[in-house]
Amino acid sequence: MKSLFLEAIAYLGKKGVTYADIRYVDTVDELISVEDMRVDGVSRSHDRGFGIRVLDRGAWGFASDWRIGPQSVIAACDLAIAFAHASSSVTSDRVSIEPGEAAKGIFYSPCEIDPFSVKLDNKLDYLLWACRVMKEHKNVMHGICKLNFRRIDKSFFNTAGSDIRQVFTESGGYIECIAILGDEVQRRSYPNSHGSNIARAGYEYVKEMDLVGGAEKARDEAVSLLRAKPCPESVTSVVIGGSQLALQIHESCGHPAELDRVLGDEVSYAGLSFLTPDKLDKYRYGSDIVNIYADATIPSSIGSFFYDDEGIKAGRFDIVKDGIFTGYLSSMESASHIGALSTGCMRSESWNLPPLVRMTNINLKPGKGSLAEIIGDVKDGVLLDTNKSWSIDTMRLNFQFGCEIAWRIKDGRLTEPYKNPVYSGITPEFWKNLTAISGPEEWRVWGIPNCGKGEPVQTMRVGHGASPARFDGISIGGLR
Amino acid sequence: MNRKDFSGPIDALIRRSEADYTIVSASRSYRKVLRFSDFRVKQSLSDDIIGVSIKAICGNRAGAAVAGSLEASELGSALKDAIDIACSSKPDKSVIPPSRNGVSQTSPSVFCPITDKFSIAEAFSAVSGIFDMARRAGVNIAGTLIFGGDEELVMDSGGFEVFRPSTISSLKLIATSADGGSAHSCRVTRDISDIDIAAETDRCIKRSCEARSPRAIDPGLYECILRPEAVGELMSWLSYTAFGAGQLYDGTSFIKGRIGKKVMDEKLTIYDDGKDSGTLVSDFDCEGVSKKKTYFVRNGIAAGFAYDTYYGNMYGLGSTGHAVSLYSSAGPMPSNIIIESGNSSESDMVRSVKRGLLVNRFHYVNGLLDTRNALMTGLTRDGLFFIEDGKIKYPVRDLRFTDSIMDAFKRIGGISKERVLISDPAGDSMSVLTPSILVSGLRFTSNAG
Repeated sequence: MKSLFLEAIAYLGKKGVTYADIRYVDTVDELISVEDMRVDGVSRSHDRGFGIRVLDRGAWGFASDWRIGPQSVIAACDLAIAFAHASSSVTSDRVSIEPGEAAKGIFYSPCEIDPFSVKLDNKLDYLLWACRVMKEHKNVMHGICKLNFRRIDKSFFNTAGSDIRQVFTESGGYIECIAILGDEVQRRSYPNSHGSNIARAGYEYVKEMDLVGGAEKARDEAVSLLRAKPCPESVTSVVIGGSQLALQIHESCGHPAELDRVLGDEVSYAGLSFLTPDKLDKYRYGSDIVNIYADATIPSSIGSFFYDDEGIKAGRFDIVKDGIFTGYLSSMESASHIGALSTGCMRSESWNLPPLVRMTNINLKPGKGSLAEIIGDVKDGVLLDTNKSWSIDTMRLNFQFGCEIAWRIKDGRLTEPYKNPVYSGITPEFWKNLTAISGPEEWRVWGIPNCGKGEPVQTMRVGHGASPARFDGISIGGLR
Repeated sequence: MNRKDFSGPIDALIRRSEADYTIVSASRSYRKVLRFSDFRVKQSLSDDIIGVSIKAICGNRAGAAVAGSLEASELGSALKDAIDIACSSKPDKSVIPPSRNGVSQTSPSVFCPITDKFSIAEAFSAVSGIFDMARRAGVNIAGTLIFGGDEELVMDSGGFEVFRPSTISSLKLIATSADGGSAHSCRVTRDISDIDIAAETDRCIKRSCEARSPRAIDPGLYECILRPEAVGELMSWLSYTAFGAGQLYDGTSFIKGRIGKKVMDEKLTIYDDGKDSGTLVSDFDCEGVSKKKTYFVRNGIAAGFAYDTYYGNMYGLGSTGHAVSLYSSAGPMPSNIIIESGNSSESDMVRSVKRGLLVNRFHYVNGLLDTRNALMTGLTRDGLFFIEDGKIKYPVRDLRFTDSIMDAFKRIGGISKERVLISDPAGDSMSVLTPSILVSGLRFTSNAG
């Protein structure tokens, strides 16, 4: 297989293209779902193919195929060149890039227990146990438990001489508890909602998750929400739990810092960004304690890698430092528009689509103290936890998030739960109201598997490190 | 590929299967995509993927596996996985083979040779023409031109076989002016020659000019004319949160427990019909079950749900032909939603509004806030206009709405006769054939940033 792609790189070199790269990706997935003590679905999938990207005459072309052989590879090379030349013919602007240094090697993400070697019976028994715990209460109508595993074996070759193979193993899982009383439906998830709990790790990650303990907590909280009051409308102090804060970082910092989006490439789908280049190194994005950074080197996160899909080495850099906006997520091409080098954020969902500028792990640096200490400083407010809904405008300014649960904070203590909480705001105003971040002991990376971008839409896996944090003067409310 | 290239390896696979019942749903999707902005084609690509889903049933136990190739070794490995999973799974009485006549079916042609032969050169020429028009008008233009096709095959161990080749094409445009005007246009069709590229571009450019210099207005409750793109977005969310039997089962649909009761205005009828020629015809699902016309809301009364074989058996109703996948636990979903047309025109609706808004399109809608009440939030995008005393007065800046769509659709002032097919060819395969709808109150909760 490797020789086939090296020959294709040589072929493209002989054709005299400015730059070309080839990705071959082989992916195996396993999904296991249990609902209400029945096996809802178990599936395995295997997918492989290659994509060829060519830069020539100042324009890009891309072609891919699932049929792997000399004929299909050369045909894809020629088609990618044809696309590049045709693109070049309709514009006078020319793409200029600076490829990174040639890299070679084989790299593996950490994995202690191969998840594909664990018997299905063991996985099902574990999920059924967690499900049984949730179903112990009469108002719990549905207990849903899921595990998912993935192995990605990706090879990358380019005309700069790179020859990189990366093998990633991913494991994840979560549970959802749906409690119903009359017309009232409440849901609690653990450890996170929307399947957002995946790590670059083996089956040892599943063992550490404690889905059974989480099932008991989810059950009790879902039932308690059935008779809880709606979250009252007010402007108040909020403490936001780590998983919800991860999504807040994702929507209001990660996406607006994508340089291709800033430059207008996403306007026909997801929109633009308020973080325009004139704001770089000047703009006050948040309070002095806001330090947000990208780090693609965190070993156990699904937002990590060794080299991106342009062959640029994974790294760490600041996006917001001491409250000031300082950096973009970028590619070779987008970085050239601001006179910079790529920050190594180009990734593709699969072999069949070209890479886009994507988040890696976008993290809020921890502060000091425990969650209890942060709550202890609140006289009157709420603790918000676990995402339920999300929405943000085309410039990434006006946002509204719904959470699964809120707890009233009174005189530094958690009191009653509130149902259906939402909070909303404008991105920089919100981050300027950040007054406390809990410490490293509360900090963890949340693996989010469903970030959508591009046309055709590409669903990417990203990570966000966060610890619970307090914001003052935030608009909250309760729906119905 | 021809039908034999597809069915040959799969037929051989099914004959080898030792499961009690084996079904295979194979699909190939091939597209050419030109994505452009700032007068440059930023992405030009050829994408060709194949997925072969195999479901094995052993007694009342099911297992599924997917191969991304037609190679015999890959298919054999997937079949073995599917049987192994079925043998390790737990019995479930709702697991049964799909119910059909067991004979091969012929699908109506949705394959257009013009689209199939459309060339890269023709595509770039079209995009070049779009750039020229936008330059002359002094607006920026972005969008996608997509053309290609799909091949879908369903075969089972009972001798059933159905194959459908189809073509697809689309043009999506967003025109933006320096002074804040923005407009959107999207046409999706099987036959690319049905898209009048110059006319679509011209309309989008003119609409962006009409939307220039938007003024800020206060959020609040407004009468609203929701144009088809806006209605289509809301319907897409309802198909995900309300219309499938999975949402009936888990109790989260706004229709659950309300069948036969009034849930929306009597003017409103919402159904799914994969055989309606006004939609992107898709007449069988991945289980090979013929799609039935399925009402969700009929004259404002909650009417029913979309079923696949599993949920159909669970509820004793049979499949309506809305299975989404052989291996996913997501449950059935509609794919060809239709809203019955009314007898108004958009200009009639504008004349009837005392103080309201004309909404072209929504952005980033989320329907998970409270699905039992179809509560959603989202923002307007690409053209929002203030209407006063029956006239469109001026463009306004975008607003966020947060409201129950079930409640908003209880207050319908009019439905247009004209309908538009809404679909996102770069996203999922769902389409919505919808009119414009006048609602007498939609709650806007804040100004966009």
